[in-house]
Amino acid sequence: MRHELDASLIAKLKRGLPPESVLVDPHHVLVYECDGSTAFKSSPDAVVLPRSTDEVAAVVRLCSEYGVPFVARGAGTGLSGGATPSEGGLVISLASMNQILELDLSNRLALCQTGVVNLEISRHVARHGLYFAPDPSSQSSCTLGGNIAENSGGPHCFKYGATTSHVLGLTVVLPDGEVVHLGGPRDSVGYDLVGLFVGSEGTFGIATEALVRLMPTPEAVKTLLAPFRSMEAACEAVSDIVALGIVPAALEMLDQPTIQVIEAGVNAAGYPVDAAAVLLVELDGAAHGMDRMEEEIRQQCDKHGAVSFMVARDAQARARLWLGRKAAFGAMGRLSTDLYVQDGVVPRSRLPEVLVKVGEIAERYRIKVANVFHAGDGNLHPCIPYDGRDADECRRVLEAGREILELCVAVGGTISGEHGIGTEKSDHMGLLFSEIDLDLMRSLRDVWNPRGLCNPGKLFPTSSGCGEAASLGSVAAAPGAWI
Amino acid sequence: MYNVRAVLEGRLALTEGLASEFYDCLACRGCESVCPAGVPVGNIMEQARGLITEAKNEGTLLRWAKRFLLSGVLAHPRRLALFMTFARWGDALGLRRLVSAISPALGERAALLPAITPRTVLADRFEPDGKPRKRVALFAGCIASHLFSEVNEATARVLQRNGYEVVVPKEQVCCGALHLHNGLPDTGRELAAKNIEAFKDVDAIVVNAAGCGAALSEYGELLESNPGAKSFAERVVDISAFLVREGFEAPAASPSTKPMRVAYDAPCHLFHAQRVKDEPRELLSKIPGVELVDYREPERCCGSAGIYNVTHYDMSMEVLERKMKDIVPARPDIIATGNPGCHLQLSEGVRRSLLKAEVVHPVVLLDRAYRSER
Repeated sequence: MRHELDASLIAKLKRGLPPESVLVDPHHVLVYECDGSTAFKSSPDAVVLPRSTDEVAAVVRLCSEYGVPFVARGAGTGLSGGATPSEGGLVISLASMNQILELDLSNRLALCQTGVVNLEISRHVARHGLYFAPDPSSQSSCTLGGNIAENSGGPHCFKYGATTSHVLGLTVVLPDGEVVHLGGPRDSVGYDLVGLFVGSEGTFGIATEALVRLMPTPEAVKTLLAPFRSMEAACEAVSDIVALGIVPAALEMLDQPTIQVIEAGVNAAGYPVDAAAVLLVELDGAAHGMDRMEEEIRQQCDKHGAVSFMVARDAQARARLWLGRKAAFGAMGRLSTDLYVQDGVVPRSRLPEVLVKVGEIAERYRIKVANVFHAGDGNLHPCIPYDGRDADECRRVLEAGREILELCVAVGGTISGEHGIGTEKSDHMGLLFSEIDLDLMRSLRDVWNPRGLCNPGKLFPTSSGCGEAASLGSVAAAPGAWI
Repeated sequence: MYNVRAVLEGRLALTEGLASEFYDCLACRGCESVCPAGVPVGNIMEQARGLITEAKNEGTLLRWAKRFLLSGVLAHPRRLALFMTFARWGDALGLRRLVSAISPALGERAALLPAITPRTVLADRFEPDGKPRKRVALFAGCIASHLFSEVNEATARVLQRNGYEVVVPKEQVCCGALHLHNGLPDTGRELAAKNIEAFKDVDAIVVNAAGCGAALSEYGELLESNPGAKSFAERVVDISAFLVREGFEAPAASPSTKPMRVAYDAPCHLFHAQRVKDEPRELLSKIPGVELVDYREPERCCGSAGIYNVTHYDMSMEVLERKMKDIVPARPDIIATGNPGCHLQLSEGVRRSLLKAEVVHPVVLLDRAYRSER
């Protein structure tokens, strides 16, 4: 239901924050109606941009007082509708909270406001030979807070683990406005509340500051590119490389439709457009022994019929290879007006058969699919370009999406690797969990968020059960319509 | 962009507040250079601004000022000449001081314009030196041909020197860029049609102003129904790109007795819109005595952005301040740039930052070098 905001609430917000930090005009709030998954739209009634933990807490206390739902948002690059205000109310944008507050170089820690852009952390500490390891493809714009909410991964999380492995402490504004500090540099006693909070998709409260772990820049890095004649051969090479006991920093795969759309744009990386698939492998760590690892990987690629095997010459060539991969979702904009990105995970060994079946599903629903994924993790990202204005196409895209997830679960996988459940997959939680499991999780959420004002409508199946088609169709909805 | 789409889909009303935000954009098109999806932001912005004019959703004074100056004067060469004559007399009689006294805000804006000198009228034909290579046409521009006649003369001489016959079609008019950027697409299309006709018989249309070049090279999309539009657009080429691609004679002398530190500042409509990125630097590097100096983000907008520095003076000066912060540490003797708007803006930047540097079009520097040979 829509919450008609009380004029006195807006007036109080404007008293507590600079006037330009409270947005209520239709064209200002409209751009907050969805995140990177444009299929799921729902406009907030107002948007606020606080600059400190105290300001966030003051805003949250007002929401609590007025019973208005609220959701925290970073850069809006999420892909599951996690920061979409499903029930209207307030969007609390942390975009202005982008400061790195303290560096502790000897302990390799950084205290950051959570609105800081992921890549800015690494840029800030690069001169000290350090970096922040989680590297979602959107890292040049996504924020740390969003990474914490979704427990985001990225190509290099194959070796270094997702966001949760890199967050040691949090300052959190609880849904009643109370400020608490969780964890810390040396905290390993009692429940791991930081671990619990990371990945809670904004349903436990709003993290405003985070103490993150920094990693030393590896002594040596090698980026390798191997094109293959078939996806199957490329997948088998991946399994064999991992079976060798080598842990590459990243093991990424792109299929032909993805390669072609990247090569057509400004981030053309030099991937061969006639290859059925390319494997992008990165090795990092000690220089000693790296040549041997490269040789072993080359042998595995040769064994599976790689067309060639290229090694990036220098840092610039490495960056070019990665930029193509990281801008892949953006490049899909060349194919259609909207994009639906799936995030299912399957056991690595089942990759070849799953990809074939994904292709069959796409054909059956008459949709296009481009695959770009973290092969090392078995984390698929079937990208489905579609036109949001075509209601029938929207329905087919969503149904195909559900079938792909059913397939992932059927082969022993799961429905999300790193994008979160959000609005998008909340109705698919039943594929993995029983009602008892879900009730247990709900009761955990209720401990943190008893009134359900903090990011409602996420993670758990909604009572109506099937609002999906309506959500996708909302693109064509009338102005002011509430879906 | 999201708001533009919502307006077009009928989900969002084009209010005066939104309209004014559409005009806050510099339309520098820097985002196009990094957009993986290839969204034509400049084009979309032009269309959005056209919608604003249709909806009459901006201040009356601004609307009439634009109509009078852009469609009424700029679009008509003879009226523009008359206007410039009056402006020159006004300037001589101290009109600028009067304006400043009445309204300091207007005075600041008027100070961006150089002293208005009588225009040297360009010949309509230049014979090539030596054996003729090709016949090319020079696009002379509207206001630039008054304020920067030196650049047109230098362009013609440089082409002559490299064996080109240069024609300057008399029927040519303003390119329409300012009209398209400011929500007057109808005038823009009328001008485009006239230029297509004026240049129908030449192999190459050489342009020395980035903003004009960008608009001219997009006539194909602007006038899809005009059969000559696409071919016109394909023949448009920036002077630096033309010389570098076709090959030009490296000058044997330096334009200066001292070595020159030269900072090349890329006009957005050359770098981002026309994707002419390396050629101006390459051209400059062939001039004896030139040392190209590097600085942060030479491809970032200087804030001129057509008439943005007049309509959005404060924001424009903030953008300029950042630009000068990047340029000043490079200690250039010369700032080279190939667009009249950027030229004026950077001259203001030089004045404000107390830098001792001259702002010059790359082709003017090349021309000076050729002329120093004798």
